[in-house]
Amino acid sequence: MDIEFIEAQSPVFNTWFQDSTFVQKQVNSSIGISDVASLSHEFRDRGDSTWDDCGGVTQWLSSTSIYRFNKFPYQIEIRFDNYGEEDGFLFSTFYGVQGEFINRYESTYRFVSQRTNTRNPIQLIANFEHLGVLYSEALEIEFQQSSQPSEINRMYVVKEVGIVKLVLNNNTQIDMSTL
Amino acid sequence: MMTKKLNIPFEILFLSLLVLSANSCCMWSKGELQNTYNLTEEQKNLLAYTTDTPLNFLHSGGFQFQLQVIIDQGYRDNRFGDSCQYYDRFEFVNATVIGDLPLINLSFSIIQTDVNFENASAIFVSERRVNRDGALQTFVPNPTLINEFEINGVLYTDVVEYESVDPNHYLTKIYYNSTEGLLQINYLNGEYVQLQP
Repeated sequence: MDIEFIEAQSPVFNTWFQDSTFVQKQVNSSIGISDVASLSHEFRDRGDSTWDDCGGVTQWLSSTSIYRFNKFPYQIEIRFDNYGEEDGFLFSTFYGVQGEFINRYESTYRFVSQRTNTRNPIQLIANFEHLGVLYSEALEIEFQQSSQPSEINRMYVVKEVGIVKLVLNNNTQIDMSTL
Repeated sequence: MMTKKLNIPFEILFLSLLVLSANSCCMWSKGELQNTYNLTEEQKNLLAYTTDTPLNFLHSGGFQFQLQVIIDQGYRDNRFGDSCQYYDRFEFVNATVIGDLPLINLSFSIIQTDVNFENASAIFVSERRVNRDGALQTFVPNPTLINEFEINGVLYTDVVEYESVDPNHYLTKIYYNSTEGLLQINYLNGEYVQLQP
Protein backbone atom coordinates (compact mmCIF):
# COMPACT_ATOMS: atom_id res chain seq x y z
CA MET A 1 0.00 0.00 0.00
CA ASP A 2 1.26 3.42 -0.88
CA ILE A 3 2.37 5.35 2.18
CA GLU A 4 1.36 8.69 0.66
CA PHE A 5 -2.17 7.38 0.35
CA ILE A 6 -2.23 6.59 4.08
CA GLU A 7 -0.71 9.88 5.07
CA ALA A 8 -3.33 11.79 3.11
CA GLN A 9 -6.21 10.22 5.03
CA SER A 10 -5.89 11.95 8.36
CA PRO A 11 -3.50 14.29 10.10
CA VAL A 12 -3.65 12.22 13.27
CA PHE A 13 -2.75 9.06 11.38
CA ASN A 14 0.12 10.87 9.79
CA THR A 15 1.64 12.21 12.99
CA TRP A 16 1.24 9.09 15.12
CA PHE A 17 2.28 6.75 12.35
CA GLN A 18 5.41 4.84 13.29
CA ASP A 19 8.36 5.26 10.97
CA SER A 20 8.75 1.97 9.11
CA THR A 21 12.47 2.53 8.62
CA PHE A 22 12.93 1.58 12.27
CA VAL A 23 13.53 -2.16 12.10
CA GLN A 24 15.64 -2.51 15.24
CA LYS A 25 15.72 -0.85 18.62
CA GLN A 26 18.30 -0.97 21.37
CA VAL A 27 16.79 -2.22 24.61
CA ASN A 28 18.42 -1.44 27.97
CA SER A 29 17.09 -2.27 31.40
CA SER A 30 17.63 -1.24 35.01
CA ILE A 31 18.65 -4.83 35.84
CA GLY A 32 21.54 -4.84 33.39
CA ILE A 33 19.96 -7.06 30.73
CA SER A 34 20.18 -5.51 27.27
CA ASP A 35 18.79 -6.66 23.97
CA VAL A 36 18.02 -5.68 20.40
CA ALA A 37 14.35 -5.74 19.49
CA SER A 38 13.36 -6.37 15.89
CA LEU A 39 10.45 -4.49 14.38
CA SER A 40 8.22 -5.37 11.48
CA HIS A 41 5.65 -3.09 9.90
CA GLU A 42 2.57 -3.73 7.82
CA PHE A 43 0.11 -1.40 6.15
CA ARG A 44 -3.27 -2.70 5.17
CA ASP A 45 -6.36 -1.46 3.45
CA ARG A 46 -8.98 -3.41 5.36
CA GLY A 47 -11.68 -2.56 2.89
CA ASP A 48 -14.76 -0.46 2.89
CA SER A 49 -17.91 -0.80 4.98
CA THR A 50 -21.14 0.30 3.37
CA TRP A 51 -23.26 1.77 6.12
CA ASP A 52 -26.33 3.24 4.49
CA ASP A 53 -28.63 2.69 1.58
CA CYS A 54 -27.22 5.70 -0.19
CA GLY A 55 -23.87 4.00 -0.52
CA GLY A 56 -22.20 5.77 2.35
CA VAL A 57 -18.86 4.10 2.80
CA THR A 58 -16.39 4.00 5.63
CA GLN A 59 -12.83 3.28 4.73
CA TRP A 60 -10.63 1.32 7.12
CA LEU A 61 -6.85 1.62 6.94
CA SER A 62 -4.36 0.25 9.46
CA SER A 63 -0.67 0.39 10.21
CA THR A 64 0.73 -2.35 12.48
CA SER A 65 4.15 -2.50 14.08
CA ILE A 66 5.30 -5.66 15.86
CA TYR A 67 8.13 -5.69 18.39
CA ARG A 68 9.98 -8.97 18.97
CA PHE A 69 12.57 -9.52 21.69
CA ASN A 70 15.31 -12.08 22.32
CA LYS A 71 15.88 -11.78 26.06
CA PHE A 72 12.50 -10.53 27.22
CA PRO A 73 9.35 -12.67 27.22
CA TYR A 74 7.16 -10.31 25.20
CA GLN A 75 5.80 -9.59 21.81
CA ILE A 76 4.13 -6.19 21.45
CA GLU A 77 1.84 -5.10 18.63
CA ILE A 78 0.78 -1.54 17.96
CA ARG A 79 -1.96 -1.11 15.41
CA PHE A 80 -3.07 2.35 14.33
CA ASP A 81 -6.47 2.44 12.64
CA ASN A 82 -8.05 5.11 10.51
CA TYR A 83 -11.72 4.13 10.39
CA GLY A 84 -13.84 6.76 8.74
CA GLU A 85 -13.75 9.85 10.92
CA GLU A 86 -12.13 8.05 13.83
CA ASP A 87 -8.44 7.41 14.47
CA GLY A 88 -7.23 5.12 17.20
CA PHE A 89 -4.71 2.68 18.60
CA LEU A 90 -4.95 -0.97 19.57
CA PHE A 91 -2.09 -1.99 21.84
CA SER A 92 -1.51 -5.71 22.43
CA THR A 93 1.11 -7.31 24.66
CA PHE A 94 1.86 -11.01 24.68
CA TYR A 95 3.76 -12.79 27.46
CA GLY A 96 5.21 -16.28 27.23
CA VAL A 97 8.23 -18.40 28.03
CA GLN A 98 7.93 -21.99 26.99
CA GLY A 99 7.38 -21.91 23.26
CA GLU A 100 4.03 -20.12 23.35
CA PHE A 101 2.35 -17.00 24.64
CA ILE A 102 0.20 -17.62 27.69
CA ASN A 103 -1.10 -14.13 28.48
CA ARG A 104 -2.43 -11.39 26.22
CA TYR A 105 -3.60 -7.91 27.22
CA GLU A 106 -5.17 -5.27 25.03
CA SER A 107 -6.00 -1.63 25.27
CA THR A 108 -7.57 0.83 22.83
CA TYR A 109 -7.56 4.59 22.46
CA ARG A 110 -9.79 6.70 20.21
CA PHE A 111 -8.57 10.21 19.37
CA VAL A 112 -11.85 11.70 18.20
CA SER A 113 -14.26 10.22 20.74
CA GLN A 114 -11.56 10.27 23.47
CA ARG A 115 -12.56 6.78 24.55
CA THR A 116 -10.20 4.33 26.16
CA ASN A 117 -10.19 0.86 27.65
CA THR A 118 -11.26 0.89 31.29
CA ARG A 119 -9.51 -2.33 32.29
CA ASN A 120 -6.19 -1.18 30.83
CA PRO A 121 -6.50 2.63 30.71
CA ILE A 122 -4.57 4.98 28.47
CA GLN A 123 -3.58 8.57 29.16
CA LEU A 124 -2.34 11.21 26.77
CA ILE A 125 0.60 12.90 28.50
CA ALA A 126 1.96 16.28 27.51
CA ASN A 127 5.68 17.17 27.63
CA PHE A 128 7.02 13.66 28.21
CA GLU A 129 10.75 13.51 28.86
CA HIS A 130 12.71 10.35 28.19
CA LEU A 131 16.50 9.90 28.09
CA GLY A 132 17.03 13.61 27.73
CA VAL A 133 14.54 14.05 24.89
CA LEU A 134 11.35 16.04 25.40
CA TYR A 135 8.32 14.82 23.49
CA SER A 136 5.28 17.06 23.12
CA GLU A 137 2.93 14.13 23.62
CA ALA A 138 3.08 10.52 24.71
CA LEU A 139 0.59 7.79 25.37
CA GLU A 140 0.86 5.93 28.67
CA ILE A 141 -0.81 2.54 28.61
CA GLU A 142 -1.37 0.84 31.96
CA PHE A 143 -1.91 -2.91 31.74
CA GLN A 144 -3.69 -3.34 35.04
CA GLN A 145 -4.69 -6.90 34.12
CA SER A 146 -1.09 -8.14 34.14
CA SER A 147 -0.02 -9.86 37.35
CA GLN A 148 3.31 -11.67 36.94
CA PRO A 149 6.28 -9.70 38.37
CA SER A 150 8.02 -9.70 34.99
CA GLU A 151 4.96 -8.71 32.96
CA ILE A 152 4.52 -5.21 31.56
CA ASN A 153 2.70 -2.78 33.84
CA ARG A 154 3.08 0.45 31.84
CA MET A 155 4.14 1.26 28.31
CA TYR A 156 5.01 4.68 26.82
CA VAL A 157 4.54 5.40 23.13
CA VAL A 158 5.51 8.60 21.32
CA LYS A 159 4.79 9.89 17.84
CA GLU A 160 6.72 8.41 14.93
CA VAL A 161 9.23 6.69 17.22
CA GLY A 162 6.87 4.21 18.82
CA ILE A 163 7.62 2.51 22.15
CA VAL A 164 10.29 4.24 24.23
CA LYS A 165 9.76 2.79 27.69
CA LEU A 166 8.34 -0.17 29.56
CA VAL A 167 7.88 -0.53 33.29
CA LEU A 168 7.34 -4.02 34.65
CA ASN A 169 5.21 -5.08 37.62
CA ASN A 170 8.43 -5.60 39.63
CA ASN A 171 9.38 -1.97 38.77
CA THR A 172 12.13 -2.91 36.33
CA GLN A 173 12.60 -0.07 33.85
CA ILE A 174 13.20 -0.92 30.20
CA ASP A 175 14.28 1.85 27.83
CA MET A 176 14.15 1.57 24.08
CA SER A 177 16.02 3.77 21.64
CA THR A 178 16.60 3.78 17.92
CA LEU A 179 19.83 2.21 16.68
CA MET B 1 43.40 -25.63 30.53
CA MET B 2 43.49 -29.42 30.15
CA THR B 3 41.28 -30.92 27.52
CA LYS B 4 40.47 -34.32 26.19
CA LYS B 5 38.71 -35.63 23.16
CA LEU B 6 35.13 -36.76 23.32
CA ASN B 7 34.12 -39.20 20.58
CA ILE B 8 30.66 -38.09 19.72
CA PRO B 9 28.60 -39.68 16.99
CA PHE B 10 26.57 -36.49 16.93
CA GLU B 11 25.75 -36.76 13.24
CA ILE B 12 24.21 -40.16 13.88
CA LEU B 13 22.09 -38.79 16.69
CA PHE B 14 20.94 -35.83 14.64
CA LEU B 15 20.18 -37.94 11.55
CA SER B 16 18.14 -40.26 13.73
CA LEU B 17 16.02 -37.34 14.84
CA LEU B 18 15.45 -36.38 11.21
CA VAL B 19 14.41 -39.92 10.37
CA LEU B 20 11.96 -39.95 13.24
CA SER B 21 10.34 -36.72 12.12
CA ALA B 22 10.20 -37.85 8.45
CA ASN B 23 7.96 -40.75 9.41
CA SER B 24 5.18 -38.48 10.65
CA CYS B 25 3.09 -39.49 7.62
CA CYS B 26 2.59 -42.95 9.23
CA MET B 27 1.17 -41.50 12.40
CA TRP B 28 -2.29 -42.96 11.94
CA SER B 29 -1.06 -46.56 11.70
CA LYS B 30 -0.22 -48.30 14.98
CA GLY B 31 1.83 -51.04 13.33
CA GLU B 32 3.77 -53.89 14.89
CA LEU B 33 6.58 -53.22 17.35
CA GLN B 34 9.87 -54.58 16.07
CA ASN B 35 12.59 -53.29 18.36
CA THR B 36 12.88 -51.24 21.52
CA TYR B 37 16.07 -49.25 22.02
CA ASN B 38 16.50 -48.24 25.64
CA LEU B 39 19.00 -45.75 26.96
CA THR B 40 21.81 -47.20 29.06
CA GLU B 41 22.37 -45.94 32.59
CA GLU B 42 25.59 -44.34 31.38
CA GLN B 43 23.63 -42.40 28.75
CA LYS B 44 20.91 -41.37 31.20
CA ASN B 45 23.60 -40.11 33.58
CA LEU B 46 24.73 -37.62 30.93
CA LEU B 47 21.58 -35.65 31.67
CA ALA B 48 22.31 -33.85 34.94
CA TYR B 49 18.73 -33.12 35.91
CA THR B 50 16.65 -35.70 37.75
CA THR B 51 14.34 -33.37 39.68
CA ASP B 52 12.64 -30.06 39.00
CA THR B 53 14.62 -28.14 41.66
CA PRO B 54 15.02 -24.47 40.63
CA LEU B 55 18.48 -23.31 39.58
CA ASN B 56 20.10 -20.09 40.84
CA PHE B 57 21.78 -17.98 38.20
CA LEU B 58 23.54 -14.64 38.05
CA HIS B 59 23.55 -12.26 35.08
CA SER B 60 26.79 -10.42 34.24
CA GLY B 61 25.03 -7.17 35.10
CA GLY B 62 24.46 -8.38 38.67
CA PHE B 63 20.85 -9.50 38.36
CA GLN B 64 20.03 -12.72 40.25
CA PHE B 65 17.27 -14.98 38.99
CA GLN B 66 16.04 -18.57 38.99
CA LEU B 67 15.48 -21.06 36.20
CA GLN B 68 12.91 -23.84 36.31
CA VAL B 69 13.60 -27.40 35.15
CA ILE B 70 10.94 -29.54 33.48
CA ILE B 71 11.78 -33.19 32.89
CA ASP B 72 10.07 -35.28 30.26
CA GLN B 73 10.85 -38.88 29.32
CA GLY B 74 9.40 -41.72 27.31
CA TYR B 75 9.65 -43.28 23.89
CA ARG B 76 9.54 -41.94 20.35
CA ASP B 77 8.20 -44.28 17.69
CA ASN B 78 9.72 -44.59 14.24
CA ARG B 79 7.34 -46.24 11.79
CA PHE B 80 8.56 -47.93 8.65
CA GLY B 81 7.53 -50.41 6.00
CA ASP B 82 5.52 -50.04 2.81
CA SER B 83 2.32 -49.61 4.77
CA CYS B 84 3.89 -48.34 7.98
CA GLN B 85 3.17 -51.76 9.38
CA TYR B 86 6.22 -51.79 11.66
CA TYR B 87 7.77 -49.50 14.21
CA ASP B 88 10.78 -49.25 16.49
CA ARG B 89 10.77 -47.47 19.85
CA PHE B 90 13.56 -45.18 21.00
CA GLU B 91 13.82 -44.09 24.60
CA PHE B 92 14.46 -40.40 25.31
CA VAL B 93 14.92 -38.12 28.29
CA ASN B 94 14.56 -34.35 27.99
CA ALA B 95 15.16 -31.56 30.48
CA THR B 96 13.88 -28.09 29.57
CA VAL B 97 15.43 -25.18 31.48
CA ILE B 98 13.24 -22.07 31.39
CA GLY B 99 13.13 -18.54 32.77
CA ASP B 100 11.45 -15.28 31.79
CA LEU B 101 13.94 -12.60 32.82
CA PRO B 102 16.17 -13.01 30.93
CA LEU B 103 14.12 -15.18 28.58
CA ILE B 104 15.69 -18.65 28.49
CA ASN B 105 14.17 -21.79 26.98
CA LEU B 106 16.78 -24.50 26.46
CA SER B 107 16.21 -28.21 26.00
CA PHE B 108 18.83 -30.81 26.86
CA SER B 109 17.90 -34.15 25.34
CA ILE B 110 19.28 -37.60 24.85
CA ILE B 111 17.60 -40.15 22.63
CA GLN B 112 18.71 -43.65 21.81
CA THR B 113 19.57 -44.65 18.25
CA ASP B 114 19.65 -47.95 16.44
CA VAL B 115 23.32 -47.61 15.53
CA ASN B 116 25.91 -49.31 17.69
CA PHE B 117 28.64 -47.02 18.90
CA GLU B 118 31.42 -47.31 21.39
CA ASN B 119 30.94 -44.20 23.51
CA ALA B 120 27.75 -42.71 24.92
CA SER B 121 25.99 -40.06 22.87
CA ALA B 122 26.31 -36.39 23.63
CA ILE B 123 23.42 -34.31 24.91
CA PHE B 124 21.43 -32.60 22.14
CA VAL B 125 20.87 -28.91 22.91
CA SER B 126 18.18 -26.77 21.33
CA GLU B 127 16.28 -23.56 21.93
CA ARG B 128 12.64 -22.98 21.05
CA ARG B 129 11.79 -19.37 20.36
CA VAL B 130 8.34 -18.07 21.17
CA ASN B 131 8.40 -15.25 18.68
CA ARG B 132 9.83 -17.27 15.83
CA ASP B 133 6.72 -19.37 15.31
CA GLY B 134 8.21 -22.22 17.28
CA ALA B 135 11.41 -22.35 15.26
CA LEU B 136 14.19 -24.50 16.75
CA GLN B 137 17.70 -23.17 17.16
CA THR B 138 20.30 -25.91 17.61
CA PHE B 139 23.76 -25.90 19.13
CA VAL B 140 26.71 -28.03 18.12
CA PRO B 141 29.05 -29.46 20.74
CA ASN B 142 32.77 -28.89 20.57
CA PRO B 143 34.30 -32.38 20.50
CA THR B 144 37.05 -31.29 22.87
CA LEU B 145 35.97 -31.42 26.52
CA ILE B 146 37.04 -28.68 28.91
CA ASN B 147 38.60 -30.43 31.90
CA GLU B 148 38.53 -27.41 34.18
CA PHE B 149 35.96 -24.63 33.82
CA GLU B 150 35.95 -22.00 36.53
CA ILE B 151 32.99 -19.90 37.67
CA ASN B 152 33.61 -17.55 40.60
CA GLY B 153 36.29 -19.78 42.07
CA VAL B 154 34.37 -23.02 41.59
CA LEU B 155 35.95 -25.55 39.24
CA TYR B 156 33.73 -27.70 37.04
CA THR B 157 35.12 -30.70 35.16
CA ASP B 158 34.36 -32.39 31.85
CA VAL B 159 32.48 -29.40 30.50
CA VAL B 160 31.09 -29.44 26.97
CA GLU B 161 30.98 -26.17 25.05
CA TYR B 162 28.06 -25.87 22.63
CA GLU B 163 28.09 -23.29 19.86
CA SER B 164 25.15 -21.87 17.94
CA VAL B 165 24.91 -23.18 14.35
CA ASP B 166 23.97 -19.62 13.39
CA PRO B 167 27.01 -17.39 14.00
CA ASN B 168 24.75 -14.31 14.25
CA HIS B 169 22.42 -15.80 16.82
CA TYR B 170 22.03 -13.62 19.92
CA LEU B 171 22.96 -16.63 22.12
CA THR B 172 26.42 -17.80 21.08
CA LYS B 173 27.69 -20.47 23.52
CA ILE B 174 26.36 -22.84 26.17
CA TYR B 175 28.48 -24.63 28.75
CA TYR B 176 27.19 -27.87 30.23
CA ASN B 177 28.41 -30.86 32.19
CA SER B 178 26.68 -34.06 33.24
CA THR B 179 27.05 -33.34 36.97
CA GLU B 180 25.62 -29.82 37.28
CA GLY B 181 23.89 -29.35 33.95
CA LEU B 182 23.73 -25.84 32.48
CA LEU B 183 26.70 -23.83 33.77
CA GLN B 184 26.89 -20.73 31.62
CA ILE B 185 25.32 -19.00 28.62
CA ASN B 186 27.27 -16.47 26.55
CA TYR B 187 25.48 -13.82 24.51
CA LEU B 188 26.56 -12.09 21.32
CA ASN B 189 26.63 -8.68 23.02
CA GLY B 190 29.13 -9.84 25.65
CA GLU B 191 26.65 -10.52 28.44
CA TYR B 192 26.54 -13.89 30.14
CA VAL B 193 24.67 -15.76 32.84
CA GLN B 194 26.31 -18.21 35.24
CA LEU B 195 25.15 -20.94 37.60
CA GLN B 196 25.38 -19.99 41.25
CA PRO B 197 26.20 -22.81 43.74
